[in-house]
Amino acid sequence: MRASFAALVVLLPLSAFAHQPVQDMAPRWSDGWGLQVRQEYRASDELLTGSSEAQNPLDSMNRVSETWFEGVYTFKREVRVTVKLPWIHQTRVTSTGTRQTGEGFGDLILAVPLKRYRNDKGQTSSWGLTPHLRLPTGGTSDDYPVGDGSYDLGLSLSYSYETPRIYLYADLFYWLNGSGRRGMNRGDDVGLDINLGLHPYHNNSNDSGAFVMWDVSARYEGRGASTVGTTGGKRISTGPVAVVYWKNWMLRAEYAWPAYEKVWGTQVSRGDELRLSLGVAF
Amino acid sequence: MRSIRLLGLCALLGLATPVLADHADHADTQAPEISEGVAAPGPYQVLITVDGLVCSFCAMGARKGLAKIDGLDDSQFTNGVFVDIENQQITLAFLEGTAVPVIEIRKAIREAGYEPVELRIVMDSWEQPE
Repeated sequence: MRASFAALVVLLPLSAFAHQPVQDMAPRWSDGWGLQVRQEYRASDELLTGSSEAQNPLDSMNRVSETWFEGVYTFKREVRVTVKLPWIHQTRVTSTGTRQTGEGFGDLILAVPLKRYRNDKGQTSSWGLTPHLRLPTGGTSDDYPVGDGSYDLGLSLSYSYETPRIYLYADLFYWLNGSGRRGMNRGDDVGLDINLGLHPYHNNSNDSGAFVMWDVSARYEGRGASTVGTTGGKRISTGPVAVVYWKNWMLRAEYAWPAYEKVWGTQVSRGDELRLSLGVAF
Repeated sequence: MRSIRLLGLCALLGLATPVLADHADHADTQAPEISEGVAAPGPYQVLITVDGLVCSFCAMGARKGLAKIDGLDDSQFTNGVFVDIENQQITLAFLEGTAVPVIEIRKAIREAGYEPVELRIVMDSWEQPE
């Protein structure tokens, strides 16, 4: 019983954060570039079977800390290239009570956001189409591997709309995930991220200000496999976002929790997530 | 010396040689023509209305590109450039004797990802030429 139960337990592995540096906002100017560091932390000790909480006698849990190093270069406002590389430190306890860890650089993501801007009186908006490529740069040898060894392809369609007071960003994406090593084969994912918020404060004299937003993220991840069992499921997470900026620096903080979550088989919940990011554009 | 205020209006898009026109308040004042490459007769400011200019962080590129233009008065604003997102307007402060670089202004704003739609030249002090 315990063995069959253990075979089903897995932990949702990789982040599919859809946003692009720097903070989805800059640089839109020709020959512009930017850097961003994003820290993500998520943790859970809640075991789910489908959408129901399951007994967790051996204290299965998951703790993931990812530090993303991100860069962007804008050739002209319609074309830019981004690169994202995570440093991952993670720990899990499987349903057999085995403690597993993994640490190291994860999979590198390259993307080419193609934008079409529209500037009007008092507002700006853009449509974006972004092809992604995820390379298997992450190690697969740890007990809890930081990579899965697969080449993955992604495509996202984004829309942004902004006035001096309102901010909207939406991103619909699809990841076609290839087969990896050690039996890892993550299912494809589809996701929708929406940020809607206000820009309540801005100071023209020192180019500083703040945004407050609400984030809603929906994911559908097909059934797949990790080194210890099934992966994938459906979830909607939501939470507040605060952004402050000063000149060419922007700091973003967000907290999200699963408003709805249903996993394939039995898995540890993705749990609450805390993200902090600091970006600069030149 | 007498102080007058001149406002010049021109559509930046496609216009390379703007001509200053009198402000309605000074309809009796004879205005000089200031063309691309011709020096203004005193310090002046250029006010540019820019469609889409609603976010200061996003407009960093405009500030950066415009600050490279020769003749800006660095002692004013930030390197001679002021961005007002409430009114979607950029103000440039130029030194006396500097030509109005309309083409450079237009190029810098477009390369920053925005559309310049109107340019106004403001001169608070102007000595009537002999």
